[in-house]
Amino acid sequence: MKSIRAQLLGWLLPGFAVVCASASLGVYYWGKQAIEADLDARLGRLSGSARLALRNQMTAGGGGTRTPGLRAFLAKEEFQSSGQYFELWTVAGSTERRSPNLGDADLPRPTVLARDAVRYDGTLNSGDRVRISAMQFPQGGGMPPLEFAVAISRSEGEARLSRLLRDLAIGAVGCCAVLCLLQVLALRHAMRPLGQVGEQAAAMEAGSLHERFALEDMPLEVVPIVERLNDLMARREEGFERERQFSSYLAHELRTPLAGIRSTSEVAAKWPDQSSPDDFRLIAQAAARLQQTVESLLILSRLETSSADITIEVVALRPIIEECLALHSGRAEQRDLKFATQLERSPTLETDPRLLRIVVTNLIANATEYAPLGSEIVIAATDTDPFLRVGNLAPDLTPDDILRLFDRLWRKDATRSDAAHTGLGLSIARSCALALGFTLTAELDGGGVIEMSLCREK
Amino acid sequence: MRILIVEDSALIRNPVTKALKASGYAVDAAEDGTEGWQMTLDHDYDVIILDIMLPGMDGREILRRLRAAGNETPVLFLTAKDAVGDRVAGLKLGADDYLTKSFAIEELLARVEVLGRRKYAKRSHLLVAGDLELDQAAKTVRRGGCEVSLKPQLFALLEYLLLRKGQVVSRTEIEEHIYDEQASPMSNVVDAAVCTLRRAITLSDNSAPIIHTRRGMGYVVLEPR
Repeated sequence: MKSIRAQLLGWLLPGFAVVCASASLGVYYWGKQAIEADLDARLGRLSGSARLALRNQMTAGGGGTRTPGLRAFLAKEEFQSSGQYFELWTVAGSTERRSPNLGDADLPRPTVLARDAVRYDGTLNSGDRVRISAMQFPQGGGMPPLEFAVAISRSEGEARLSRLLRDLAIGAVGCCAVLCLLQVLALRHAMRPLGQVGEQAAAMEAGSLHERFALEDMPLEVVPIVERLNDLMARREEGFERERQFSSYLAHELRTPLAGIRSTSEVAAKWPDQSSPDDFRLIAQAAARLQQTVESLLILSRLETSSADITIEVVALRPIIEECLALHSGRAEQRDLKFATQLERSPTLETDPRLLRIVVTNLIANATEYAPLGSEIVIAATDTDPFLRVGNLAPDLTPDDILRLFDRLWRKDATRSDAAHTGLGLSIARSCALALGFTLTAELDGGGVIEMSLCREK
Repeated sequence: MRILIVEDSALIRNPVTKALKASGYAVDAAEDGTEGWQMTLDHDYDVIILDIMLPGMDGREILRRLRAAGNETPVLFLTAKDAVGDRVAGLKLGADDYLTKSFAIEELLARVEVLGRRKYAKRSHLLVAGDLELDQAAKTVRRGGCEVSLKPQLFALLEYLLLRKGQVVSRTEIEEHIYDEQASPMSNVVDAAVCTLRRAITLSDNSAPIIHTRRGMGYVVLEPR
């Protein structure tokens, strides 16, 4: 499993090392260049001094032995020990004068020399690496030019360069270590909210679904994820609540008739003289109610597990509506309800007639059972969406009820004392609609009219 | 003892009422919360059996009102709600017991009997006065070791008098606790019942009188001297 922290460190730490090494190399190169430039500048100054000494010598000696001026030049302290070197060659190429610190050794001499100085590196017999500047010095009076070279030991520059390299290496390692430490600390600090979210998520269970992840102090990049998580938690909580509510409703729907059957039969067995035919009628009613509930749940289960056997045919909606209206006309008459139909533009659909009939009959049954006495139920079918609308007055319903209307076993009457209904009709209708690729929605208008709409799924 | 059952489902209300009556209790039944609450105001019940989800008035609301009014009558919740949270909430509200549907009728009767004893601060199911013993659990009466056969209503009368042993019990109280609303007792029914009970528990001339009359006040059960 990949860790963000490990990945970031895996990328950043080598990155820092490369940056530090590059910076050190850059500084080292710049330092080396500066030392070389300094060396060349010193060499230039030394060449100048040598030329001046040679000129003075020529003036003093008049072209004879060049002793006094050059002696003074070579008597300088720098030419006594290692550091600076001087060598003067004859026209024939043999050594005429050399600085004392050269002893018997010679400075490397190029084959060809010119008036312009030639600079090159060489190594003395002593092993001292030097930077050399060699040139010709013209003499007047038809004399051939003098050839000489000055050299400066590289040891001081190399020592400075070594110190610079060592300092840079130490600095780079130290800087890298400090940056790594800072990186680790910064990552730990920055990742803490994520870690907290992870810990909180790991501790989540069904009983803590009401809790939410805190958005305060959360990095901006993580906020959308946390908001999404909170959204999911809210939905999950709602789902759990619905399941819990469903279990509670189901317990009531099943336990009440079961308890009745059990109590009635136990009393009849223990006190036979107390039993009456009414008891058996009540037991039969309870058994029928249980059967209805169980069968409805089975239908729902089949629909929700997509195991419903769907046979697509070309179906005219109008005959199905009229058939369902006829089925519920008796109940409508009992409750003094009037059906107002608008079926002239009723469509023909390619769907399963059996499931469509279940949807239509449940919508009409629901309206017939719950519309106020003496009111009107509007059933309209058109060839545009929604292709079926069933509307009736529902003065007791609230907008919150609409959200729960299709929940399994939900009933407006919380006491569930009406044994004639289980609260599964609309759930079955919606599941059938979904199985057919339709959507079934409910809307409550300001006038207290609820309208069920069946649309082809978009 | 007089019991009130408030249950909207006739399928449960009817057999429970029959079982309680057959066990010698006077039983009133209400099918919605409002009626049940009214009945608790009109009568002094020994035990109240309450459904929670009731039309009119929720069972929990009835219990809350009872306790708020200082009515300490033992209440048993009889409900389909079996979640721990529901049980805890019911008991915290002041219910004395909680029974979920479905239930064995024997268990319900046993719980009602225990609640009835609790009202009269009795721990044992044996009520004793001299050589007379009444077993509330077995529903038997013995005197001097001999079993005495009593009809349910006489059994209930003796049980009530024994529960109030040493206290004068008025005729009105007996009517209130022994007869349910459907019985409509006449003024001399209590006297006749007490007379019949006395005869039933007097097995011989040596049987000491246990139920005594306090003229103008009622009856009292006393230990024989």
